[in-house]
Amino acid sequence: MDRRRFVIGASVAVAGTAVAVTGTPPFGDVPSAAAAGEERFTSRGRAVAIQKIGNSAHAVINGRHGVHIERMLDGYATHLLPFGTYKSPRKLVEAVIQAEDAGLLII
Amino acid sequence: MTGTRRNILSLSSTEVQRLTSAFNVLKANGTYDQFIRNHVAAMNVATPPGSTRNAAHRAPAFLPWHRATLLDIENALQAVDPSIEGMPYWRWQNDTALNGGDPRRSPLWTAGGIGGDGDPARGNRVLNGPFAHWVALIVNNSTGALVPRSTPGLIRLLGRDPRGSSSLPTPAQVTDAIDRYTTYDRSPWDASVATFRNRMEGWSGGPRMHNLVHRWVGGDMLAGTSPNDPVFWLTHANVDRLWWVWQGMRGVNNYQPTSGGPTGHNLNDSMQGLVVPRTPADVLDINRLDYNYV
Repeated sequence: MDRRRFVIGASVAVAGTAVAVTGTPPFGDVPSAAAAGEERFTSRGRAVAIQKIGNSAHAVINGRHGVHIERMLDGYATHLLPFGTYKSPRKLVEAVIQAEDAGLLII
Repeated sequence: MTGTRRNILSLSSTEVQRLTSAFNVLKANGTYDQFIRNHVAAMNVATPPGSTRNAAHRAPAFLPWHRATLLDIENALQAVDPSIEGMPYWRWQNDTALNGGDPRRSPLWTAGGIGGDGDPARGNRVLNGPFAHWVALIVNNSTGALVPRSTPGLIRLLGRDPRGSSSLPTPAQVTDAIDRYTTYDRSPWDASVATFRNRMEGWSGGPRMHNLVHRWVGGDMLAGTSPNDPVFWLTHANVDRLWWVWQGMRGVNNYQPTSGGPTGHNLNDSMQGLVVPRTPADVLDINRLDYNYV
C-alpha cells in the first residue's frame, strides 16, 4: 500500500497566519490597528477571537490557535467541515465548536 | 478484479452481509482507517497552497479522485471476499419519494442494512447494525493527527444535523446537472464555476447533490473524516454512476483541464492521496477499469 506522506498545505497556511496574529508588533500602533479587525465572543464556554486577514481569517479559541477560515463563494469555509459555507466567520466557528462538542473533531 | 455495481436496495440480505462483513475485516486489520487518512490528507493539500481547492475537492479532480479511491476500496473488499460483485451504490435522489417523503425509513438505515440513525439520547451514536462497534478516527486540529474517538459508535443525524441539511437531492437536481451542464469544468477551476463537476459536487447553486448528501446524513459525514461512515462509499458510487451517465452523453474523454490547470488536476497529473497512484486520464473510461453499473 502506498503510504506516502503529504505536505499539509492548510497547516502551513495556519502557521503563517499564526505569526501574523501573535508575532511581536514592530510599531506601537499595530496592536490597536489589529484589534479593530478582531471579533471576540464566547460560544459554549470557549472564548473566541477572530482575526480577519485579507480574504481569510483565523480564530483563536481559548487562547489556542484554532481554525483557519477561507472566504469562499458568498460565505466562509473551513476544511474541518468541508461540505458547506457559513455566512460569517462567527457562524463558522460556532459550528466547529458544536462539532467538537458532538465528538466529530478536536479543535 | 472486475466489478458489477448494483443499487444496494436490490442486493439480497446475504449479499449485504457479505459486504458489511468485508468492511468489518478491513476495519479490524487497519486497512479501512488508511482510506480515512487518505481522504483527510487529500483534503489538506491545498492546490496550490493558499487556494480554496484541495487535491480531491472544489476542483476538477473531484470526480476522478473519488472514482479512483472507490476502485481502491472495492479491490480491498473483493480481496477479502471475492464473491462481492462490486461496490453497490445508494441512489439517494430516489429515497424521499420511495419512502413516503421520509428517506429515513429506507431499509438502508436498518440493522440489516448499514445501521440506523443515531440515538439522540446517546450522543447520536448508531447503536445497531454491522458497524455499531466501530471507533471513528477524528482530526485533532491542534496537532494535525488523526486520533480514535474516545467512545465507540458512528455518529449520524439523518436530516436533523443543525450543521447540515434537512433534505436529500431530488431527481430534478440530478436531471439539472446532467442535462444542463455540457462542460465538465472551466477556469478558474474552483467552487465558483457553473460546470458539470461543480454542479455534481454541489457548490454551484448549492448546497446540492454530493454536498447535500453529506449534509443530510450529518454527524461523521459532515467532517473531513467522512469515510468513517461506510455510507460514504455508497454515496460516492452513485456520484460516480451519474458521472458515467453524463460521460455517455457528453463523451468519455471530455475531461478538463487537459493542461494549464492547478497542479494535481490536469488530465495527466498524478492525483494525491490514493492507494494506487493514478491520473484523471487513467480513470475516465470505466470499461478499461473493468467495472460497470447495472
